[in-house]
Amino acid sequence: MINSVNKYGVQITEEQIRERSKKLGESLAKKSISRASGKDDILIIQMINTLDLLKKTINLFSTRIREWYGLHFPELTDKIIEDHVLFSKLISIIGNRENFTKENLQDKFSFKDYTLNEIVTQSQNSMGAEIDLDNIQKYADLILSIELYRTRLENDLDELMNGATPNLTTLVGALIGAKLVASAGSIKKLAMLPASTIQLLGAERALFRSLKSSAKSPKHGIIFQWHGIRSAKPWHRGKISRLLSGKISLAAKLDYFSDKLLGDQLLNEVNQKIEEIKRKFPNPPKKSQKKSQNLSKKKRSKKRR
Amino acid sequence: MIQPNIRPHPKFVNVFISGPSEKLKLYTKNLDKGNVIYGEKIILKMDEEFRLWDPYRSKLAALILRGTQKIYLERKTTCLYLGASSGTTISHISDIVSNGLIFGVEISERSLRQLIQNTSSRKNIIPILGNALNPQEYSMLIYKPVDLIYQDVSHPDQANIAIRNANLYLKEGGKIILFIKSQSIKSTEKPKEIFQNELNTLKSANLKVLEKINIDSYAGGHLGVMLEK
Ligand SMILES: C[S@@+](CC[C@H](N)C(=O)[O-])C[C@H]1O[C@@H](n2cnc3c(N)ncnc32)[C@H](O)[C@@H]1O
Repeated sequence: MINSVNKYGVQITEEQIRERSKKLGESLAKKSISRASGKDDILIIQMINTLDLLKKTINLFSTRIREWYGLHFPELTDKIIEDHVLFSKLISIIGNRENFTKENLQDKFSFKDYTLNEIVTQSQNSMGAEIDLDNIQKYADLILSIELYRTRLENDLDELMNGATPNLTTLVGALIGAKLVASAGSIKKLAMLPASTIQLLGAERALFRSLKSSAKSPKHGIIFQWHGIRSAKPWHRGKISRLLSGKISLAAKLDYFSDKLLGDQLLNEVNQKIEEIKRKFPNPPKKSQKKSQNLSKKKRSKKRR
Repeated sequence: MIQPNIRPHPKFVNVFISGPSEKLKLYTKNLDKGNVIYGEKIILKMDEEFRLWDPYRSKLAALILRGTQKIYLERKTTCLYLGASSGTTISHISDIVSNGLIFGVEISERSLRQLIQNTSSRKNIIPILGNALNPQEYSMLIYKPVDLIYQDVSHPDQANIAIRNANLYLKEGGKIILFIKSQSIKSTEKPKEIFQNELNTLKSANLKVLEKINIDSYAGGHLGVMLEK
């Protein structure tokens, strides 16, 4: 192209072409940029709600297929395979329990030796009945196609969240981030909420219950699903969730009001403080009596539902 | 603190290393002195800044540490980078092709905006907002054919993205480096089948596979593939 331009007698160097292209690229990018257009919010909320429903559906369908296929190969249902999706995959690809041979399983799956042997032995000694598997296999295919759609949707949501709320997404991941956005109503609204409200987003029902029954008020809503809280000792959870909700509030503000990318830093700070909390409070507090009272109350209210 | 002994990589131009071979660290020489892109560490040595290149953040660094034969980057290489994101890897490539050129395509406005902020003083990066699936969209900015396509897009259709861009912009004999993630294509297939399907599509478009490298230990489920047009 440089040659063709020079042929017509225009004096332009590669350096100049490059500079102009860079400027053009930058200004084209800036033009189409409109911050927090609101388009993302709507999509994020639709996608996370759909994901939620798909997950429930897969669980529900899987319970059903376990029961149905259990007529044929109950041992697989009862003991060996806990993962729902893997279970449907086995039914779809292998089907009849007579085909659960070492070769077939190794060819299509990657089981550990122990599980592999267990499946093969159980299939040879199964107490199940011979039934027509055609409909069950179609049902398994249906579950798998829902699962396929679910993972794709999850990937798309991940991408959308990384673009729309990079700080929040780095801090707590796309799924929890999206649930927070959905619960607050929009990215803007989330950015405006105080940390104490963020801490309870998604726990509204539990909060209401605690007001009625005067049980101890719940400490965490959606953020309770964050691995750092789930895996924490019970007496650390309250502290960690206060800490995290503060950072979430900051991340959402950064996402909505600025272009700064500080998610990694926020996450580091959270992890460091968690270590500190662990060091400072190695043992559970000694209010054991009161606690057990509360606990039994909670249990009761659960049963009533 | 002891200064690490930074020395040129034995195979790759403008790539630097320190440490023993089992704990090798990678660096590139900062083209844009005084600026860091993603919080990477900087080692100062005789007037030069060496930016630590993190294989967990950048799949190209992972490829190098996993022992790839070639990275097809020379000082004057022209490169089309698909999935530029906010600039982690592209900034290291920019250090390497110090007299070359990179067209960086990214679909996310926010990431690209970040890229522009991070790299506006790097003369060899041209930022492009666009969808790598529709390469004709950005033809007005790619003013010359490229030697290399570097593709790291989170998209299920890796093979087609590579083929379309190679058809329009890659020189005959030019190379492609791309990454396939098993999970982003079909969750119910085994990773092996996924990789094989993508490779078959690439081969059927007359792209020759030169090398395949598993970088799972740095980037879960990813395979790096080098191809030639
Ligand atoms: C894994 S990130 C790339 C990271 C980057 N290569 C690095 O190491 O610094 C993938 C990027 O691909 C972008 N992307 C996804 N689909 C795309 C498409 N169709 N066209 C262009 N970019 C796309 C995403 O927005 C995301 O920024």
